Amino acid sequence: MLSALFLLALQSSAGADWQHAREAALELPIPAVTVENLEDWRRAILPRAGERDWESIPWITSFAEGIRRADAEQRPLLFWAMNGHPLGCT
Amino acid sequence: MAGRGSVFSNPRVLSLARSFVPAADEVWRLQRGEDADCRFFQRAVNGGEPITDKGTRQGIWVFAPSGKLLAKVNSNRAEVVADMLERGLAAWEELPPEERRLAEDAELEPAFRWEHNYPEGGLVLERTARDLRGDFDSGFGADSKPSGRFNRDFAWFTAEEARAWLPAHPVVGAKQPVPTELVARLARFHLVDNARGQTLPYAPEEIREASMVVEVVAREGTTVELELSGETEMVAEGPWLLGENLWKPKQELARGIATTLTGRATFDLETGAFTSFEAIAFGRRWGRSPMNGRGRDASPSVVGFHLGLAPRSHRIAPTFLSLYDADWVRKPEGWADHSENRP
Repeated sequence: MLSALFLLALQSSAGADWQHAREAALELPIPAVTVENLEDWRRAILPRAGERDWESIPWITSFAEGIRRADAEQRPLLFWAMNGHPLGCT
Repeated sequence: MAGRGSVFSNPRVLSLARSFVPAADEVWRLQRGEDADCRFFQRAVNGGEPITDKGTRQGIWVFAPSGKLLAKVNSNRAEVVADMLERGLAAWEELPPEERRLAEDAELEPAFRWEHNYPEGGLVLERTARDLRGDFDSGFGADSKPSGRFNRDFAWFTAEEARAWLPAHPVVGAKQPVPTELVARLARFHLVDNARGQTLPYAPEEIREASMVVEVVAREGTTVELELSGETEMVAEGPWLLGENLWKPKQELARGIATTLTGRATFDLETGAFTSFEAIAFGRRWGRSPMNGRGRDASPSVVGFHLGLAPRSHRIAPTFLSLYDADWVRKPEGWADHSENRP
């Protein structure tokens, strides 16, 4: 009985926590975006010049194609493997 | 993700990379799957045997086309990776010609990849999410220095779905809500808090708000100019609502994000395709998921999103494509999610 009450209290506390966090988030100021200033925000959000160097590498997007190309060119394969595609969301 | 900036932006690594054929791929499938390319990869990294353990094979590898492993490392330190690449090149130079070539009877072609669902002629968006450190009132914007934490994903819509963004009769002034299922796709899978790393998708029941309106603001012949505006809010109170699949977390963590979106786009009625698309959204996020990098600081903050047309060469499947509510998403035969290794 006591443990059930404790669990209930814990759940209630967790619920209050996330609701508080949500309310705090919704109070954060965000900028006004219009179609006129989209470009400014594009520059602020998209990767900048120094952040795109990795894209200068002509990545092949699959392991199988990489092996075949390496064989055709008789060069070794540099293979980057991540949970989530390294060229997408990882 | 850190490797993009710390490793593959390093001049020494970039220079060494020119000696290789560079490729990148998702390793979750490769190290667990049964397709031909998965088996080839597993044998290559596991001494000729299929992988049976659960240890990750993330990292940077050097292989001969034969599949022979020449060097490897899993590091975000550029010098460590550069040293490994040099070892790989040296091993390649010493490798006898007969050990270099891919066997003529080697099987490599996968029967299925999620990328096979690529929506030709559809709307393919590249989505960037970036943490914003914001003192917006004092002029945060293009001239400020935003956080270096950003991430990318792709959002896919078929040609038919793309046309559904527009009013049936797209005359100037026509305005309509974007179909709920399309806005829900953006809200559940793409306007999410993965600026710092992979996150979890949201269930339909976790949608508090998902609305978007499109208005025709100009038209010239078959070219239709549109403006977009919308709001989304997702709230996951903790319990996992998406069933048994590979994303099921081991922890119940509350999280949420509310976004406001503004955009513009151009649609060509003759080709039935968007010729431009750009939207900005600001997301007020809170809480965390197991892998999204908020562990040390889950306090509320703002994430900026940019949605734009992806180059046709970018055919990386959306992270949550397997969960899209769309009958055009084909799944591999015998598809069964594997939840045992997810956090």
